[in-house]
Amino acid sequence: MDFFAHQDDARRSTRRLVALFALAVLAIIAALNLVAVLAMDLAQDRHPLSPDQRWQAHLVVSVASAALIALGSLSKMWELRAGGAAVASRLGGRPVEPGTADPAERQLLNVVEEMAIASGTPVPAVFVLDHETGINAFAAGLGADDAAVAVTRGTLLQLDRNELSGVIGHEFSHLLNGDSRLNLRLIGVLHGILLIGLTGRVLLRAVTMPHRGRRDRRGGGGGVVLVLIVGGIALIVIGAIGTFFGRLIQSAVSRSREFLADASAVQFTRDPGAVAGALKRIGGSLTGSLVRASRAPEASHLFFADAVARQWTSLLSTHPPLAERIRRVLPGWDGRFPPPLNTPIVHDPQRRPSPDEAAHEAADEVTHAATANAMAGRSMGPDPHATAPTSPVDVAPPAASRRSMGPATAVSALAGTVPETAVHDAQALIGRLPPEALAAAHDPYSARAVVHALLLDGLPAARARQIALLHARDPAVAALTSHLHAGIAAAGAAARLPLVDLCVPSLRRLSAQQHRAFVDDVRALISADDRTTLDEWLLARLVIQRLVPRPHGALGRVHALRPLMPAAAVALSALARAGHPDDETAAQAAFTAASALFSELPLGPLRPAKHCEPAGLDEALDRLGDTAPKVKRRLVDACAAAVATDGARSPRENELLRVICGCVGVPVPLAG
Amino acid sequence: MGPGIIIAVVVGIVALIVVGVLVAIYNGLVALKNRFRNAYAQIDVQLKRRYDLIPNLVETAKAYLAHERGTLEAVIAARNQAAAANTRVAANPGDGAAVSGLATAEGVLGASLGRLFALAEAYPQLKADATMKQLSEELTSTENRIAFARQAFNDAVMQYNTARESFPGLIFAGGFPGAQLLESTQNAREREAPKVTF
Repeated sequence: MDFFAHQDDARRSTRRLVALFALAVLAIIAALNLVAVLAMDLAQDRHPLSPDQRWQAHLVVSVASAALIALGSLSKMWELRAGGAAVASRLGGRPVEPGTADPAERQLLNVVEEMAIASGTPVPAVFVLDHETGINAFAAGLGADDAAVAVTRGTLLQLDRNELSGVIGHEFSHLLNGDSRLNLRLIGVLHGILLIGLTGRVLLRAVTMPHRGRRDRRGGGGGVVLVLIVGGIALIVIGAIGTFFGRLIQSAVSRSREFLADASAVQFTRDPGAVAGALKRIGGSLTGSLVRASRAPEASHLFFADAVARQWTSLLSTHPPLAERIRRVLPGWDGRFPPPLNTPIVHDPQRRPSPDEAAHEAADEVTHAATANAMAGRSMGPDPHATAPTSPVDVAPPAASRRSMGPATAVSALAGTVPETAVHDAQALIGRLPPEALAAAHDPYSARAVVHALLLDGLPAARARQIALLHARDPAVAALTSHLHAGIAAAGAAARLPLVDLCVPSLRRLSAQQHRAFVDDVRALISADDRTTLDEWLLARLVIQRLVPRPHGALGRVHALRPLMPAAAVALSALARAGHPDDETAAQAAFTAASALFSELPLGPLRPAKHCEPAGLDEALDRLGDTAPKVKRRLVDACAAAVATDGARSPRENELLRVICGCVGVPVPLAG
Repeated sequence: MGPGIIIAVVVGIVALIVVGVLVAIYNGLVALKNRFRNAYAQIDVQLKRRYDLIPNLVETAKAYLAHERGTLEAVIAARNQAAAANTRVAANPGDGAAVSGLATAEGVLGASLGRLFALAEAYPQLKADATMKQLSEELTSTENRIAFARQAFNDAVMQYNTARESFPGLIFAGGFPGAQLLESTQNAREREAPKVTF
């Protein structure tokens, strides 16, 4: 199952969950009516009711409970529309500053950044649940642009870097597979059912409070109070039913995905010991993975391991049993958990292996993992203390300059995965970045300059014009931009998208006014010279898009390919022309290669250059971004064909492809 | 079906909707409050960098300004005061008194740094010192970042204050104390000082 199939599957699961939810609501309404019948029978002798009145009472109960559930669900879904960060805050998460100096947090951010760059997604917002001592983590978000990853304090204190990367890999798998969106929606939907029990508790507390002055003095008060108490208890009981159904739905949706996420984590980290180590730590620790936050139950399906105590029946657990998960990942496990840690973990915030270290590490990884797991203690995984990053001059990747990514692995098959070497390549790439640029990316003020520097033109004359434009708006930022430019330009095409992805968390900290000013600056830079290349334009568009996520909706989601042909033609023409700037015939050839993938539908001729101007391309990309997964799969492959020359892509072309796929919401991992 | 029942049902539904809206308004205020509190973290990071730079600066200057001890000690004292004030605000960015206290302490620090730089003007060897140049360069860049972070914080505070003062946030204003803007951390003298070229 590839990325697109996963997305489709997640959407099908959403429909299943809605069906289950509807069933639950009907069951609850039925139960409430049953209680109403009992209550009316109980009060039969004092307040006899005609059949008509009974029927009305049933109607009231049904409508009221349906309204309450609907309101509960809708209000919660409205609250969560802000995405992952909203969930993290509600669970008590504290955002981690991108420029943090705390070693544990720095290490966490490094791991998250490496995984994000490896998978071609923007770095998610990172949170820490300070008040939780259990070992747990979660990922939430409606899409790549509002994703959040959170870990507990216990995780930072008890897991080493390797185990942490296993946990983060697991969470990224959820983000990449569309699980996190489904899970977020689930919280909102379930809230309606859980609300009934809550209302019952509130009612009961209100009635049993001593100072109920007015109510007690009312005539016939005894009967009313009795009904209210019965009502309260009934609502709590019904609420328990609601909770039961809620848990059932949560577990139905999340359990199977947990095995998949574990398997993906193994693939991403290339080390079964990473995830297994984390799971074993949970098994061996005193607090396990329990999360104490009061809102934890409604979000329990989001977590890495069981956040609430396992119920009397494993049907209601959101996660498969620990032992089973460990065995699936490490078939040879001896069944023993490590003892709780008695020495604190040493955090290495520096950890970025130099390029040659990475090569050695790759070879040793497997043997290390095996021996590490044989030991009962924590894995003495390879954790080389980084040598200082090499000077900015030495930034060319070790291998040959023109790398070919052949058509052997279709891009659509690669999308949403983290191939074998991707994480190590990401670490190496980060290590090669100029240190100034890296530090600048972690601070909102200077991250703007990094983005500006990425958008500066290649020719000195045009560049001078752009700097002058920036200078008129903000001299200090202009100075910083030209200062950073040399190093960033030398880092090569492969570093452009990763730098943008690194800057995104810092840029999200901009206030609304600062953000507007920044977007204006970016747009001005792009239009400053008439020779904006597609590379720069797409990168600018991607940055803006990452900062202002477009609403995700099923409405307007196009399923068929035919209506998209004009938009696809514009996008593919733009790509073909960008790949072969002065060579019309080569562009035509590339475009034809792309059209061949749409054999049954007419793509039309290569569009003239003026059709590929920003306005038209903007609209085209908007339309293409809003399509169903299986349509996107074909588009992605067509884009890959359009940008290649004789079936091979240079680093620049590869980057172009990754950026345009990012614009339509398809993460393409780092390659080689 | 009696009219009474219909009215009761309609009233009930309307009541539920009103409750829902009230909850949404309340949660909106909570979100804005959290936003400005989190926005302080940015300032905190930058201020800490600044406070870490200053002792190095003083150490470097000490070699050349041995008999200007008063000025140097004033800088260190001001820096310690400001660091303490920052810790207080970081613990609770909604505490208006703490925020004012920080603004004052930062003003004092700015003034004493200004005096230090003005004094350094008279010592060409100090001006030429490589470490000194590098540190004052970093200080300037940190000043820029602090100003930027302060702007973001103040934007968030303004949004929060506006929401709680206007309708419908007004309903809950009692439970949400107003927040204080962070005044400029530069007084006139310091605004000049970092521009002194070495």
